[in-house]
Amino acid sequence: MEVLHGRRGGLPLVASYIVAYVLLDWVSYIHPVAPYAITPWNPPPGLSLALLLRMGLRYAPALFVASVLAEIIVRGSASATEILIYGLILACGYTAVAAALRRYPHFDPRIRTLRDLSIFTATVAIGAALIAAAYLAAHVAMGRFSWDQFPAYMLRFWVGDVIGAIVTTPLLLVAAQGWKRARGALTGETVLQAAALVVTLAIIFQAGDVAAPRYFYLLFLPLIWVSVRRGYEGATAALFATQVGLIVAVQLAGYTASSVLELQLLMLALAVTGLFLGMAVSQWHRTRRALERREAELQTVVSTAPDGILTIDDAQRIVAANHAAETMLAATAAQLAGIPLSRIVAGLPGNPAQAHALEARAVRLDGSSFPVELSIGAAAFDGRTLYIGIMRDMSQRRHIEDQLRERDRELNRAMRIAAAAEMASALAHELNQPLTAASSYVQACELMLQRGGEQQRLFEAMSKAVAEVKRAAEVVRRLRDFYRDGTLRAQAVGVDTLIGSVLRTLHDRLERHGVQVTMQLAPQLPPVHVDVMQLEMVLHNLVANAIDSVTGVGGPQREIAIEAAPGPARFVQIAIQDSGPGIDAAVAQQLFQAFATSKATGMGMGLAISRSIVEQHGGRLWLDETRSGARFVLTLPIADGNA
Amino acid sequence: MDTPTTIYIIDDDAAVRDSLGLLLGLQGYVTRVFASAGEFLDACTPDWTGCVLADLRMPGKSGLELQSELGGRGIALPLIIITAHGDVAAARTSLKAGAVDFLEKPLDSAQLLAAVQGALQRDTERLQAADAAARTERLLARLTDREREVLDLVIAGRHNREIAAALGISARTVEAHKARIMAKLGVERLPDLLRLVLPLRKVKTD
Repeated sequence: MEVLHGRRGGLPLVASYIVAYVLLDWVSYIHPVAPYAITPWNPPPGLSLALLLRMGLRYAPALFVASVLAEIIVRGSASATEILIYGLILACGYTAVAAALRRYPHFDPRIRTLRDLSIFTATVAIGAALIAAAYLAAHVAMGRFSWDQFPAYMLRFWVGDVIGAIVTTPLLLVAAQGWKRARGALTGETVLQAAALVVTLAIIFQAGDVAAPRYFYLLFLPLIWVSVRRGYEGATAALFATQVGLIVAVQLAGYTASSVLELQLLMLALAVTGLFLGMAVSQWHRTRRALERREAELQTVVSTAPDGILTIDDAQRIVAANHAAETMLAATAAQLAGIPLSRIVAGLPGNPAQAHALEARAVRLDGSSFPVELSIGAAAFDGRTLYIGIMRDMSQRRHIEDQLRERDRELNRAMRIAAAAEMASALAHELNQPLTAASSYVQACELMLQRGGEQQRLFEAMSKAVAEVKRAAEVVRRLRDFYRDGTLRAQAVGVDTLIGSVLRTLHDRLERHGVQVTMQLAPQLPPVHVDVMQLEMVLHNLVANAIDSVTGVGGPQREIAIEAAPGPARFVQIAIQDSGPGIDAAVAQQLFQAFATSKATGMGMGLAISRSIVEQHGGRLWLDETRSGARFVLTLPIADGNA
Repeated sequence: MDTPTTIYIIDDDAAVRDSLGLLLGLQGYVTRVFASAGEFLDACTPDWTGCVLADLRMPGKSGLELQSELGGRGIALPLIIITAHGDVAAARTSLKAGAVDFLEKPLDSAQLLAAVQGALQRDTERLQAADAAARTERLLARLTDREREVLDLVIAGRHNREIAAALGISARTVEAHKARIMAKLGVERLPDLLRLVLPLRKVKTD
């Protein structure tokens, strides 16, 4: 048996196998149909099958050598031709059985499942019958015995080979796997089981030659005990021990061949029962371990999950809650058990089995609530439905979003204040110069009037004062022009350059709000003739409006499409389209007037100034109300020399 | 001694210069106008008296730069800074650096006159102090070498006997020298002598 342990192969294995084969054949050469190798217990084929299943079909020639040698050594009466023919039949037959098994789809040659065992048993039964027929037919052909004896010999041969294989092969295959499950085999229980086996055998053989089979059923008791307690591995060992014990007892008691055959038939039933029961127990153990493992994994997943996980029954009541759910809801799983889901989550749809990333509010037992994202999955089980609800606390994320929005607003405000302060400072300086001069002249005039005389100087000073006041007025006019048409520094610039630089300055904001921008620029678009700074301001304003529009609603799609194409005559047309809710008709009416805004942050001047800038360039800016969402379109003149 | 009455007006804006010149001129002040700080610094000499009225924000050197350059050249003319911006930080800086006043455009004539008067008063005091120092200096010039040696030791706080030992003369002689020194400087008591001489010594040792 040791020879099959592990997977060492080669000549030592072959030699060991042959020796073991011959020895087994010799030992089991009992009650033969002398001088033929027809016995009621024939374990060598079991050894051969174990070798081929475990090590592969390339060891098949060893089978032939072994059977020929056994024929010569154990019996040695036949002619060389006969020996070769019989050896060939046995070797080819069992090689064919092993090959059939190995080719069977999904058959594990180690015999690990009930299915493997069924296939093995059936194949061996059929194979042994065919081999027996061939082997006996050869004997008849050689004139060894007549066809009359064929059925009786056939049964004997078949029983011997099948029981030999069924008891021996599984044992050897288990042994080859190293008795993994048999550690600690020699416990007190094992000793008791062995004792029970011996006692049972004793009882059976106490009954004598004729009555022994009647008590055979008693052997089922210790065998079932072993199979249930030790599974398939235990069953193989117990069966082998029983078989050996049976044969020894039979030999000691000197039973007749027909009694032995009857006992071996019973033994076959015992073996099949024991192996199948043992395999069922082993498989059950394996399944249970796998389930326990899965259960442990699942338990860990559920308890470690940062999301709250609720198990809900088909009456929509909470059955269990994980740690995260307990924390979120500020209640223990025991407190939550039995509470309807609708009590915990407000705003559930009619059929909760279809919820996916649903935005809802979770309500704690004390009435406080927080925003959650809820997903619910359903599992049909035993004709009932089990729901698993997973909820994610969104308050943190909402909070961060709010903070970001707030910071955006503050940044905007700060920028506007800074711009205003800069403007105010420049304005103050510009205005204060003439005002200082004017007030000084007027104060000088006062003095001169007090003193009298000096008409000429007084007149001069007064006209200078008037000139300074006009100068102040000029400053104010220039300031107004600055916003209207004052400083237009137009140059040729590519539309892609313009849009690109605007998107770069807005990159962070787009990214933060998860806004997708798609650009569709017509090929070979001519450059436009514009004041780059002013147009960047206009485009920045329009894209920033679009961002506010798509982020305001919190919808799933946040998209802005920017298109540029040749427009009418010598103009390029640029459109900025967003996926937001669009602009209310009433608001659209006065959209381009100063201080009209739909935003809390209000850049009220934005669109009014944008339109005046675009018109200053000879272009137009309007709201295209034919599309969904907001779509602003502007036209810009093509630079000279490009058409 | 004359009271200074000259006001140096520095502003890049011609109208502002002209109007301020007219207004202050009518008040009886002598005014001189400069279009930039550089122009003023080119013309200015240490013997100028009066005060400076300069804009904070000008092309070229700003009012603050002018202030530091005047300090660097040892020109002690009082400075009034004018600004259009109500710039608190600039005002604090200029006042710390010794500007007399800080005015916001457009100027209020009462405030302007008060500031100008204050600045000129400051300059008057400065000139008086300088005059007193010059007079004392003239008196000290009349002392003999020995008397000057005795005076140094007296200022250093030595007693007659120590002075006598240091100079190898008798205490009685020291007493006689001290009497002559006080007579020449026109003081009657030792504390008056110290009050007269010490400020000069401090300036010298600096």
